[in-house]
Amino acid sequence: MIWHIFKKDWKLLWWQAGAVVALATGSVLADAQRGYFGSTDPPRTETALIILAFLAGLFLITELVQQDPIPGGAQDWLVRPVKRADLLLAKLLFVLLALEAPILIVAVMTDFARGFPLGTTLSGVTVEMLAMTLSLGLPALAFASLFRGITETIAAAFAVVLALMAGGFLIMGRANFPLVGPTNQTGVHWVADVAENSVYFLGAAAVLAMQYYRRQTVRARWVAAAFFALARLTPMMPWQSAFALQQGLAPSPGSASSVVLAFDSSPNRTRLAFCIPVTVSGLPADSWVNVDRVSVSLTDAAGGVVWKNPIQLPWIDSAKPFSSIRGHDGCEPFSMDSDEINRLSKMSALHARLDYSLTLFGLDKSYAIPVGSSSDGDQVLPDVGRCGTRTGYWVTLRCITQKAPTCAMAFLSNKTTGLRTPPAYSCNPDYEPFGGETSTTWGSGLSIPSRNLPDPVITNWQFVLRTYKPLDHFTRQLTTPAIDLRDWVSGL
Amino acid sequence: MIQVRDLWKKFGRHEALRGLSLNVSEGSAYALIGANGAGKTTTIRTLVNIEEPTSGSVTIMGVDSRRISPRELSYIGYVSESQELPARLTVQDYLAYLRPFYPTWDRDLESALRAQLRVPRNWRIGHLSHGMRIKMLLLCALPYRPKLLILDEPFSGLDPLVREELMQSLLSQAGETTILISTHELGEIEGMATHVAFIDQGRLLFEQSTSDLMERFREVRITFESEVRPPETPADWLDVRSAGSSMTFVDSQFSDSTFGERVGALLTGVRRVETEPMSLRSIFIALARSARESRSE
Repeated sequence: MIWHIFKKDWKLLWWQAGAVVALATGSVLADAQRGYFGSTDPPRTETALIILAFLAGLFLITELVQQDPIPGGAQDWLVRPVKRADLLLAKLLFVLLALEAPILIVAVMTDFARGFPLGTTLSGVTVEMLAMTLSLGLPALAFASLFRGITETIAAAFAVVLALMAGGFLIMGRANFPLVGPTNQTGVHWVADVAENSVYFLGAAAVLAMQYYRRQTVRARWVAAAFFALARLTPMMPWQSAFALQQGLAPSPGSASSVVLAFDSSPNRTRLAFCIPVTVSGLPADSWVNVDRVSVSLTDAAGGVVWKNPIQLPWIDSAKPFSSIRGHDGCEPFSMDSDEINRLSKMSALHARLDYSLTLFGLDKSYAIPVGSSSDGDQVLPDVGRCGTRTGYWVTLRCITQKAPTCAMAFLSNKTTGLRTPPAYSCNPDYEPFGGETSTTWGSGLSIPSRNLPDPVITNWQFVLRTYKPLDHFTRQLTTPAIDLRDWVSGL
Repeated sequence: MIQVRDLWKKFGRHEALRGLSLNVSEGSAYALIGANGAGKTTTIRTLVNIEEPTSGSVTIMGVDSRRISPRELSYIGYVSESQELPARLTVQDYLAYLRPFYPTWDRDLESALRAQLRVPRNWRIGHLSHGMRIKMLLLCALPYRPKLLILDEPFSGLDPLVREELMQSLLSQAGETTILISTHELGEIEGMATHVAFIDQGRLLFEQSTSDLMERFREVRITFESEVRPPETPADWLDVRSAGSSMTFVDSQFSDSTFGERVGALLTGVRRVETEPMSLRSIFIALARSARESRSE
């Protein structure tokens, strides 16, 4: 009877489903319209379409559930021979077939038209839609099942938003307060994201089971509130757990075993204030290390921690090349306020301890792309996407990718002499192990100054793009010999 | 068909049902009567597992109400004045939606009923009047010839003509169907109900066949020789009133053979005794008034 119930809902809601799909299609097509060299940020109309499609989708799901509401005792379906499982599955089927499948088809067709292989396009889009169903569609169904009528559901949604804002003011002094956890802005952020979405999914599954099989609305509301609170707390998951999981998923485990980090004890380096000199050795060819997280602490002679740097995200100098450590000039900086300095200066025989979480990146692919106005245009770079160059004062490469390279470097190379321009870098570590996504413009692209060289000259050059991929995730710990903070203070 | 044993239902601190026990036998037309808030709707909702019992047991068609499955529901017709239907569907769309759920759905019977009840096919359910909606519910409950038909206040708020149409449809199609009906409109069911149960404040006051009930209730008027003080009367004489030299009451344990003897033993100076059979409605009013008075005491 699943299909039969689906048809009844379709009869009532087809035009709303059509409106949501139209809005979503509009946003996909508007994105496709921008091309490589359009704005990387979506224009207002596209943003508006995305927001409208999102809200209309949530409204549609609410309407869908409210065709056969759960709370209350007067609904006709309760006394009909309708299997509860059929009813729930019919609602899920509607979300999949009437709402998500058309959007998926449009996205696949758009990517296919952009020249991406159908296989990767389908898998990427399917993964994305599945994730959206589990972490958004299902929770929306579950939320709507807790209330009777559209008005009550919308009022409850507003109440949740207001409660979040009030909670934000109480906890952090501002209304918008996504909790910032240790994985935030690191390549491991996906672990917290997946954990959060899993909690939403599990909560939704529990609520839907309670509602459709037992109709325990009051209890289900408490369960929903508990799961929601838990999901909001997942960004605070410990770094060690997230990174340990990432280590288990390393593409080439053990490839970083030869990498050694050591304290640089040369006299001219050790007296630098608030900076621990570090050297790295044992790197395989064409590889470098990314610092995902570093914890600097000071320990006393007995090994007890007397101070810990509250900031554990690495400081990255984006202008630095991919030398041994990305964005690192061989010195691990940390900051300390004056009260701490005064307190700790009185202590002798302090040791600095550095706990590193690191990722070894290796060369993945190298592409040589012709430049010059006659060569500007479309080309497909395997494993990157569909790219185009534009030659002017700068030679710029922009791509539409399904999954942008995590890190890349580019320079202009003279085909005859082998001369190179200084390189440009783009690096946004993201170690998510899943497949691709729907296509999008590679945000930054890469631009190299060429100073308007005329075509006969510039065509002798080529645009070299090198992409890097993570190979291994590993940890290292360093402990310095005794340091004296008074030396640093006097040197300031 | 239905057995209810020591049924309790609490909503928070409020006890809607307090140890209710009922027995509806197959083929009967069982009327559940009681004042507003007596627990009739809660009882009915518990039967079909819309509400779960706090304690006690409910068996319907041999199955624990908590385990009632679509199989049993496909043999149960349900009509309630508060039933919510999908307002945006048309009558014919909703009938088309319901048909596949009932293996025994008879389309000819559906057509006959639709003609009899004069329910417009192409109207949206949300546009139907209250009376038309109740007729629509009946139209959705009868075509599969349910073994059990549950009617919760079906006549509430209906004009006499619609009531008559409903009753005619019920009587013509009921056949072997067991009927459980809760209603205030006792006049409508007087000729139909085979059994009556009276509920007050979640408790069963009595359960009896209608013929026995009508037999044991009499409206009595006694005229005395002279003006008398109201005498002490037995508890089964309800709604006792006296004015001047006459007294009226409802005898709830009337027996032709013993009544005269009883009156003679309890009262003196009796000049004339008149007894009248009572309608179900009058019995209900007498019982409800008596229950209310005993609560206020």
